[in-house]
Amino acid sequence: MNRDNRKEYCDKMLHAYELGILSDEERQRFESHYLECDYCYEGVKEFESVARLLREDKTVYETAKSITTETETTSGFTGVLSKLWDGTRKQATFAPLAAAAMIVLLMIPAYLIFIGGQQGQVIDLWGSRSADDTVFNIDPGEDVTLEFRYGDFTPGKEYIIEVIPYLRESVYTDSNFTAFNSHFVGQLTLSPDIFEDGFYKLLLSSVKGDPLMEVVFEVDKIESQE
Amino acid sequence: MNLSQLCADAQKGDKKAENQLFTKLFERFLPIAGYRIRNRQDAEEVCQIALETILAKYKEIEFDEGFASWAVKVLDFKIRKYFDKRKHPLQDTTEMEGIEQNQAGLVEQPDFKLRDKLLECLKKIGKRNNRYARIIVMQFQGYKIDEICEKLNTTPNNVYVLLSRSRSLLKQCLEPGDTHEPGQ
Repeated sequence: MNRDNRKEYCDKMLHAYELGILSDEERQRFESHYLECDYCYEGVKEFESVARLLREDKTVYETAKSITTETETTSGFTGVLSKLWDGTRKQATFAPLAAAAMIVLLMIPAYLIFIGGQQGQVIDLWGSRSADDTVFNIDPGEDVTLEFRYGDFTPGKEYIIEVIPYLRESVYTDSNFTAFNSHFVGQLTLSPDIFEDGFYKLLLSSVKGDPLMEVVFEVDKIESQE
Repeated sequence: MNLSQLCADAQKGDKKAENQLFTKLFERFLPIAGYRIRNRQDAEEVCQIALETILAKYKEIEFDEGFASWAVKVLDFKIRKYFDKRKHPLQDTTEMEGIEQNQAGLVEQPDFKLRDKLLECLKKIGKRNNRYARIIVMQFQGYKIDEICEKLNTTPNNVYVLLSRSRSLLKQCLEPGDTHEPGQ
């Protein structure tokens, strides 16, 4: 690899490595290169704190998620609007059609939420700042996966996890919970039968019983089609 | 001098080269271990353990793929062993003893000032192109490059280029006194 190619390779791979998205094979290849490469070493060292925040900080995730949601909504609407109202002559011709199209478009998200279309059966308890003001519609025919983030978890360590309905006894307890991925996201898959309409608390504790994290969420079961 | 040359000299018995080799290796191992092990003290200890193994074996080995590849594999193995030890505390992983005590050392607090500035920069970049923000979200969710490409309907090369540009913009934006919009 000559000097120019080497720099090109470094610039190309550096941020993918810092974000931890390379495959194991690609990561090892980059790390072998990095050991010998002063340019990559300086780059990694210089960006270490930023990269750590980008990989691990919950507020970074929340901000990135809100950017994707905001821009998708904005660009989606402005894109549609600019196409429907493209030029004054077309505006006069297509205005009623555009209005009808917009009404249909506006109704789709509401319809999807009504039929429980939000993210299938995953209850995302870490993407929104306050899960307690979100109602999760669940389909009684499919398992439900609760997804949550606990930044201070220790890989391999066991935790107690409980799902507790409001003012009632726990409906689910696992004293050996370890199902976190490398991004500190825990996943707990449960049968839909344990849920009824109402508020629930997901509680994560240490094996000694010290509470570490809790999230409140509301479930609304969809009526069976039968 | 590069690692392979230092290694070759050290293999011949050059003590100065050996010192330089291990100093350089430790420096460069740290960020690698630090990326995967969140506790800095643990990361340092795992690096030390990897270096001990390398020191004990490097003179007897002929390196087919080069010294750096082998050294990275040793470190990788030690990091995996460290996590195995945490998953199966009763397993015999004598060399990882002592690290256990560091578990209480909780994860370091983030640099709040840097974080605020970073969030601001992410928003600025996101206004122009939201694909970088989408990649950040996906990496948090545990997606790897192939899955990200599939979701963005693009090639790995395009993702690498996008990331490289975004990194430059971030760097520019994070520089003290930056007032301009990224990409301008």
